[in-house]
Amino acid sequence: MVPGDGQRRTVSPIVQAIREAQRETTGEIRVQISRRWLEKDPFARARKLFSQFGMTRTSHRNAVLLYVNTRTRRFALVGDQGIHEAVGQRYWDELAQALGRDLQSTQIERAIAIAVLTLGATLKRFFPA
Amino acid sequence: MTSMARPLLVAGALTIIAATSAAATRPLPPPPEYHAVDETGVIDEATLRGLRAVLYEHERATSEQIVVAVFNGLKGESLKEWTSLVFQEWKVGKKEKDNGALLAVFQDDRRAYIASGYALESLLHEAKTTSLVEERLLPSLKDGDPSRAVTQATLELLRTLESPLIRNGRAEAILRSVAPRNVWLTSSSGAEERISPIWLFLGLAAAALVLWRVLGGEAHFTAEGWVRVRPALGRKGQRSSFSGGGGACGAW
Repeated sequence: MVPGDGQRRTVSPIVQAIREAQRETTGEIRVQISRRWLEKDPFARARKLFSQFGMTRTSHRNAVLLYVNTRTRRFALVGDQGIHEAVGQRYWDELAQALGRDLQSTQIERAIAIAVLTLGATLKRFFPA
Repeated sequence: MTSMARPLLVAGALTIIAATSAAATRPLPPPPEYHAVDETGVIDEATLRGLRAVLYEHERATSEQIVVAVFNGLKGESLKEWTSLVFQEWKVGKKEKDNGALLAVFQDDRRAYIASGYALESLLHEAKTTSLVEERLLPSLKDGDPSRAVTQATLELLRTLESPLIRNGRAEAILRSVAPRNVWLTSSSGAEERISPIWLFLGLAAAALVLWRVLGGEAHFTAEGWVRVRPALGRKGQRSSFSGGGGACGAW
């Protein structure tokens, strides 16, 4: 890993959103932005990353990973067992739709931040800190 | 430059050559005012200014007098002999030290020669000056870029002389500030003709690999901040299975 702009004067809106989203919940949210060339299945990649990052090791199994490939313009949402049982498949589908629309209409970082905040509100409802 | 007016102590060999060679039919040009002179007008003003500044500073730092002169053509004269005559006529170098060098470029003939005084002969011996001219000057000259040619050759000349202006980066800085493109080392170095295709291919493959590593980089965001992650070349062993969760994907 190479240190990025964590010490930038202005914090990335995504980082800000994650901080805000995680504030009142035990859940964990992470975002990965990739520029891989030939990626057919972002969902598979997201699942792989989820385990690689050890995101299954939460006490309530309520971690969520948002994976966005800006090259192929595809993204995937992956939620762990705990949160998935709480919200159901429809939640992911609707969130994905909303994110897709936002990505078309506004800057990538802002669209992601909105999705993260939505996730945060959901996590806070089901897994308050 | 009054220093050039001082008589030069000429080494024995040069004296003999001067005495025995027939008087040049082409008249010798008068000594120049500055360290760089161009009778052709092909060298752009900025480069000329830069060269003069660099060579002037080199003389101040080392007392070595390096002069760069661009002439139209030899007009039938012998390259080495005529350049040496000019070198003597101009009295390049400090009288007591004989530490001067003249880089003479002949635009029409696409040839150049470096004549030097006794003190610099060990550094500027025949083999070195020949390869310097061939590798750093002639390619750009033949490509129709004389400004670049003289810039590159002068830099290499200063490097050979281990000029303090090279060590502290000033020579490059001055020349880059007047004409940055002359200072870039690109394909006009002349060495490219000798690179066989296999090396070119490997070089490109290596560059592509580096580019891939750089461009394929990913950014990972958490509440702590974000970090850049270099693409991994396949992590087969680390896959612990992920099960029981859910999610969705989409595109835009």
